[in-house]
Amino acid sequence: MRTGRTLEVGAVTTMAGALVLSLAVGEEQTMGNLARILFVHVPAAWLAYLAFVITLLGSALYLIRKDLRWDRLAASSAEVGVFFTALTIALGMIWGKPTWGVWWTWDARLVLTAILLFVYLGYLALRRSIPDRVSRARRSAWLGMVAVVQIPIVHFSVLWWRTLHQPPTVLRPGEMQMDPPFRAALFASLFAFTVVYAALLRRRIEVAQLDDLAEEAAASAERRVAGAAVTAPGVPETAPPADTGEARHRPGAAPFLAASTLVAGALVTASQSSSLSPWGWVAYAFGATYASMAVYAIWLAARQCSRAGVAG
Amino acid sequence: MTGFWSQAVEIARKDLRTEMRTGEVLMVTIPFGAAALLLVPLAVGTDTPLLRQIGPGIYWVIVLLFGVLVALRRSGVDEGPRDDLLVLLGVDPAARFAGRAAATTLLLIGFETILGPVALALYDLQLEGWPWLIALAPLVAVGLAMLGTLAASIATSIASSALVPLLVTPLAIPILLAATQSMEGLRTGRTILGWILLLVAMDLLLAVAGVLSARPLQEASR
Amino acid sequence: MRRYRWFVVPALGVVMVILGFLVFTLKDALVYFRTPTEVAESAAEGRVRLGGQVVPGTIEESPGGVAFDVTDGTTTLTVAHTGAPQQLFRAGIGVVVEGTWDGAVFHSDHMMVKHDEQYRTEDGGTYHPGGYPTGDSG
Repeated sequence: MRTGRTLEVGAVTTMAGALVLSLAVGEEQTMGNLARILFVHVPAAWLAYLAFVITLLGSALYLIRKDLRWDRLAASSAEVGVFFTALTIALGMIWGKPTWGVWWTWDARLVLTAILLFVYLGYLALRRSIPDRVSRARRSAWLGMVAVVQIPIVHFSVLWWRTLHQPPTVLRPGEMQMDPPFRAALFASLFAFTVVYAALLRRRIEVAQLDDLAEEAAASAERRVAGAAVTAPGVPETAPPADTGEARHRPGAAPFLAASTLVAGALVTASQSSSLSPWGWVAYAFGATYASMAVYAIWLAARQCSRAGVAG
Repeated sequence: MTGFWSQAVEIARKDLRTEMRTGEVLMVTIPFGAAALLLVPLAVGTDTPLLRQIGPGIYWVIVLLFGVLVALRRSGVDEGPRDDLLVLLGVDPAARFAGRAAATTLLLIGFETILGPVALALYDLQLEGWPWLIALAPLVAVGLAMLGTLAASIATSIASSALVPLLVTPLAIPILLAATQSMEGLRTGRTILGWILLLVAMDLLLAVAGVLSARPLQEASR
Repeated sequence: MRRYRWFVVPALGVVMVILGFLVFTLKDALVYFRTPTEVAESAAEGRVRLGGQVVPGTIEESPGGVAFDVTDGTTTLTVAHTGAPQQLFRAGIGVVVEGTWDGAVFHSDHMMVKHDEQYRTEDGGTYHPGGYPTGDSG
């Protein structure tokens, strides 16, 4: 538990530090203050990639070692990855509206990122639909390994095809096209986002462990044992809370995504007019980032508490 | 390997026979698809040039979405006792995939063939270069059939109805693009060889994936 | 796997060949926007997207919109845009406009500004327009 607390404190402090650096950087030559959205949008994208690569590792290691812990890692990382992918798209929209002039366009990078999101949503849905643990682990492991091939395609899409989205600034052939102050803020943000990812991942794995315990408890409670025909004398205990089957069907990221989409949508409609100043858009982007991370973290903590109550 | 092909053929035949008996595709999915084709002009407006422009795209989207339902028909989805029997008989799981996909392909070709004239009529489409469609339609059908069969065997029958379309749709996008861009290419007189080849490549990849994953998937559910 | 090698290996081989071939043929098939050279040469019909760089000194604002020249380094076309230009619109920046080409002037009604991949501080380094927004970057 202490590692978890350290991670969370670390997440908050590094994000605060990254925020300070993001604000300290001067205005960009062309985009002015809007360029600061770079410091949340790009790390979110990179962390999404990292999360799905971890899912690949977990899936592969599960198939080799058959240890369910790797499966838990893979699934938890996939859910956090879905969160970061959705955040990337949302932040991209918030950045695109004032810079490009549109919330969305149908170029290769955006479409492929949307497909990435849907494929991993399918991964989460697949896991929700299979009650048997081993079967679930096996099938989602294969999907997790295949789906990761999209990541290089998404990254190189801006170089392989003509897009509205700009080519990569950092992970590119040739020199980095970014002045040092921007680089510092970007890498500080990247570090902070990574700590956030680690904290969320750790929480999510803990929730998954509790889910598994609850499942086991429910399963063994259902199993009828011959010896149960004879009850031992003893103090009558209070019955454990009825298992509604909810514990078995972990909700995954879907409700969270739904809620945040609704909130984001409301904000989008409210801020329809481009009367938002550049600082307004920056605040919108950073606010959405912090708010969604906080909501996700709180939601995970809440699930942890309720699970602990049931399984305990 | 002779066992493989005769097994696959037998399974395909069994699937088709079941379909003939229940008539799910013929009596339900095809009318549903036709109804969907009818809905779109009611929604976007019956402006003829507009419909002519979006018609091919709408047709292929409906083939994709409803084609997944064809792959999911009750007679095609894994059902415990029947498949346990097949496993006990020592049927090659890859042959089961091939047979099932073949049956679905034929049903999808039927689906495309019946809904084609419907779309043609409702959207007032002019088919330039229609001989190419004779190559295009089966290639699309084979791809969607294999994709649907693969996805159905990955998901268990408990959640198939909602899950499989979700899994299939992103992966079917290249197929959809190839089909619609081919129609667009035929209309503007450009070569569509590239798109046809893309379909062939997709179909081969799906066949490889289906064959290789058949046994692991079968064992995963034991 | 061994049992199916007779199928899998040739199939994958064919797929590789096809994909290799497709990388070259399909690159131009589904373009997000066309360059001025392509629009001028092919006399594009219907609605198309045109992408290029705004030529400095050619921007003329008018009550209903803005007119400017767009170039890809080889060909320069005149664009007559209806509607207010985007916030970041300025000389030297990349734009993608949607509209029709009548042979002489590109009439657009939808404009998107394409920002390139550079991030420069105000005092650090001059803004290099870099490559024109063509399809062959990197």
